[in-house]
Amino acid sequence: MTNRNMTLLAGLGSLLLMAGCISTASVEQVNRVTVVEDWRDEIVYQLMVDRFADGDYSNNWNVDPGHLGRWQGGDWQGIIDRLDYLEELGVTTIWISPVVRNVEEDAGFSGYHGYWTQAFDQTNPHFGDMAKLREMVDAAHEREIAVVLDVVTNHIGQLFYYDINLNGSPDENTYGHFGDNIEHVTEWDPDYDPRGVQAFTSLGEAGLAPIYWVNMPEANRVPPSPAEFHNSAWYNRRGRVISWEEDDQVLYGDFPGGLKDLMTSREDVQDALLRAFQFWIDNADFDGFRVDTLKHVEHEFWQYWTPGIREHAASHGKDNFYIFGEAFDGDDELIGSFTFDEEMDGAFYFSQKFQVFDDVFKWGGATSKIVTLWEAREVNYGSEPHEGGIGVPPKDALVNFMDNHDVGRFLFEQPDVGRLHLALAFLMTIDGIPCLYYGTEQAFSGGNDPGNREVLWETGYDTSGETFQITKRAIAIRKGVEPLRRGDLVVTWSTDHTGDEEDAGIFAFERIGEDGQRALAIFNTSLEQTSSTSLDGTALATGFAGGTELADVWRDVGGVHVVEADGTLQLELPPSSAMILVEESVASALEL
Amino acid sequence: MKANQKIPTGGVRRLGWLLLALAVWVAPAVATAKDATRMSCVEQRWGCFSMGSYGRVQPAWNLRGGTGRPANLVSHGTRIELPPYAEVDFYYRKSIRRQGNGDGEEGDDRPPIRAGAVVTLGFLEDLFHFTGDFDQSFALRNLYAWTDGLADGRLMLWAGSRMYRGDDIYLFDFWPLDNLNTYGGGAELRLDPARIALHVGTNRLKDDFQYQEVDVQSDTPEPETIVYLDRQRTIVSLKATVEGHPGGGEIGVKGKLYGEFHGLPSGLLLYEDGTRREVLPSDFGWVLGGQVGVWGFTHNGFANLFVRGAGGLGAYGEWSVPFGLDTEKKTTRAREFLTGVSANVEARHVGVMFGAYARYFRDADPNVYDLDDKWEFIVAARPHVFVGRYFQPFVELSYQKQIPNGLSPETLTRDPAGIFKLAIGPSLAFKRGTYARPRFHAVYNLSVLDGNARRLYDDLDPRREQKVQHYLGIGVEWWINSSSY
Repeated sequence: MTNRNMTLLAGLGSLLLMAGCISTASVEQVNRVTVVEDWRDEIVYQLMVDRFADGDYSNNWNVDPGHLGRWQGGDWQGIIDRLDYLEELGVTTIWISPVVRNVEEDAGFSGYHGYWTQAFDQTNPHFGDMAKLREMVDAAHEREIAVVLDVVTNHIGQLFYYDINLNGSPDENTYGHFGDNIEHVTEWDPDYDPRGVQAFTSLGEAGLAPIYWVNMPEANRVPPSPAEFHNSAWYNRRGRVISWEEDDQVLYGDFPGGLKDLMTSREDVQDALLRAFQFWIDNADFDGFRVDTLKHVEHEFWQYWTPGIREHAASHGKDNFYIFGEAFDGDDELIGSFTFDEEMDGAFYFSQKFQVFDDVFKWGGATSKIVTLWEAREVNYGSEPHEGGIGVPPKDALVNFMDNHDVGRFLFEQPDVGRLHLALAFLMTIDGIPCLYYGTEQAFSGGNDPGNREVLWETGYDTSGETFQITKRAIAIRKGVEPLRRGDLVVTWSTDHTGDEEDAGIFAFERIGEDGQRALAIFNTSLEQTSSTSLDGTALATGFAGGTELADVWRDVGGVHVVEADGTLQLELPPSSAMILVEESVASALEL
Repeated sequence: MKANQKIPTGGVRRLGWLLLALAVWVAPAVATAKDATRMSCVEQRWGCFSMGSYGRVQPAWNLRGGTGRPANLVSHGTRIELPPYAEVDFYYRKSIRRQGNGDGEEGDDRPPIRAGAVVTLGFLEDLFHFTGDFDQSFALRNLYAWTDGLADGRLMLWAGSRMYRGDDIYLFDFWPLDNLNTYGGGAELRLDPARIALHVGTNRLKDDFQYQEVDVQSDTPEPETIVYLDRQRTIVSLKATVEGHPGGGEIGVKGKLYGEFHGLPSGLLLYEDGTRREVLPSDFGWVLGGQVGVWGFTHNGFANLFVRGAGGLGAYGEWSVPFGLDTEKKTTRAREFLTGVSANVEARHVGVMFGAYARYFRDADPNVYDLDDKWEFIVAARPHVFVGRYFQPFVELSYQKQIPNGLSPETLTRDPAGIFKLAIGPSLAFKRGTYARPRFHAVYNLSVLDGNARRLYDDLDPRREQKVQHYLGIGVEWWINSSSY
């Protein structure tokens, strides 16, 4: 070989050496950081990954723009790209929809939402790979934004069928009963049977129907991963819930849509689900879990699983790992029942969503209902922090929200954007942890699922709109006035009046910090009437000293309100308006 | 991993023999290979016809009762594992103006002007005698006409559909710098010792990326099909070559500069519902590269060094439907960098072929840690021993590696994967030299895959468990008056 050739080879070798020097260490290892000091300080922003931002066109498989029941193209790169937008709004925690690989499509709908698990241990390729997930979490953490993962332990996707007629193939329309009226059932999603779904032939019932996994890779309907979930005994196999009033069905029935219910009473299933979600702490440094379908799983499961997650997180340096759950129910006692015995650190305050945000802030119901609900909190929710938990009792760490992905948006039923702004003021001043559903800041008004899952990019991420600016202001006030986050809450005015009475619709409370600093929030929830913080000569009593000058940081209309010598304050508020009053010195220090 | 490629066994030899016989039959009319304008044949008054062929076939047994199959991690693996492929060339040439040759009709003292046509059929894989399926993938690879001798013998023109190529790395069946499959035309201007070649071509792939037919309502119950999306990629290439023998010696040197431009207009894609449309934006791409070469330092000796950089559409190649697009659905961020070496040295009893290349590819999407973005390299050497006049046993050693930027979805680490290969066997050629063809061979081919390479196979693929893959094959490769070689 000539010298020239040797030179060429040397050059090639140098290039190959260069090839080996690419550094991907930053995503090969998980960076562990703690960004939350006290979860009550957090502003949670719920986003559906498929709808928030499309930052990577290369993963837009099967995207069907405009059809909200199908993939729209959002991904984790999109979140990275739009962190500026979230930061501008003031968000400090994002709760992202599930990351696990899902059934691709079923019955014309797509698994864009993430609640149709196929693989507990794989990322959803529509959103990115593990490297991208880590990159997204790291990018958020760099801005001190925490990331909460949505997890589902109750069920998997539509991955098996019940072979009711024992013919070894899934039938959409087989016989489940003979007689005068022949009953047709689908083997994908048969009705609940407390004995377990029964096989049925022309000669009658034939025992428990066997289940068979399907192999439809084109729709990612293949047996679940990891393989231990192939065990048919790990599923309750009782068919689809047909009555939500029966506890057994709620616990053991398949979720509508053929989502197969896991037998979470089994210890081996509990262990498998514990490992399945510890995996995501190990691999992507999440800061908390939002847990789906609380009421469809036994308390015993949560009493085992939740401490196991907490302990595992703590062993990885995440000792402030927040686990909160969703019991989609208006029954306050039921929701609260998941916050005792080391179960959830917090829960979605659905009863407040229905009784306060809907009844009072949408429709002007009596504000006395708020007091009634909040008083029950002391009894219905855990009052001691869980061991190894977030250090705050569940009753003080409930997640406040006005809408989410499972209910119509606030503006869907109540199109008056002024009422939304009023509700935002309330959301950002009450105790607990405020949670904002993506698009609220853009005054989205979609109806029920999937109408409430609009794509955000159609707004151009405009930050100049009125609702964006008001949301941003509400968040900034909460962040800037410490008692609004961590202070005690004392209701100072509520009323049964909703008509033309002097104080109709008035609700007021004070938040009192450890250092005695106070904030006074006043709302006129009346739809039509200007009301007063007084009734029959009795004015609103405050904890402020007489002569204190208070500024309204919410409306920013200038001027001050001076507390009377006896500590009272009489103010008039137009309908659908609020005031957030702090001492003038505090207000002037606020950066709004 | 090109996991599904097969090296069929069975009756492939029949086609091979047929093509070989055809080629041998026309051999007296054959001269150089690549440049059809230089094709020599005994020209009659009506001109002359000739034929040519390139082909390779290799039935193989994997020693486990199955088909010998390739194991490759790189875009261009070793040639010896390639599936059957054959080309049959048909040439026609006629002198339009003859140089003074005394026939008293057309001759004068000016350079001759000639014209001709080249038609090449290509046949790929799935030979009937292997599958039993009377079906064959074939394509018209060349269909162009040319004229040469214009401008005092300095200008050549061509037009049609053509494989438009430069030098290859033989061991990988890979043209690293200038290799276009195009539908267009071009010109070559010879200004000794330089040649400048300009080409303009186009393609419009049968893919929703460039072309869409949709059914619409017609005046009858039968729908009418219309072309809704039609956007052609335009490719312009410019090549400047200087070559010669400095000092008039035997050693020749060559230098080449090369560039391509790719342009694609915008278009509208209609969704299945017949109402919604997607805008496909305009896009462009480029290729810049060069080559230096030397030859004549031994019998059949040469060495070429290639360097190529590409961006946008050019990074994907002229036939690709780009993947990993950016949020504008463009390829702007895509890059390819490639450098390669091809060489051959021969002595009285030994000849060695050598090839290597390293390639980096990055798609256009914003993902840095992306499995589509990777380095790959392969290096191979194939020594032959010339024993007697015909017997030329060989050994081929190669190593290939893929270094992805992304994390393996299985291990969640960055997993460079490598394969070491050994191929050994006897071969028979009818003259001495590594490039002597036809060449009959038997081969034992061994591939040793590391764990990361095996993990690239699907869980259900039996090869995932096979650290060693090997096969025995018999085969032949020929080129005779070929338009490719």
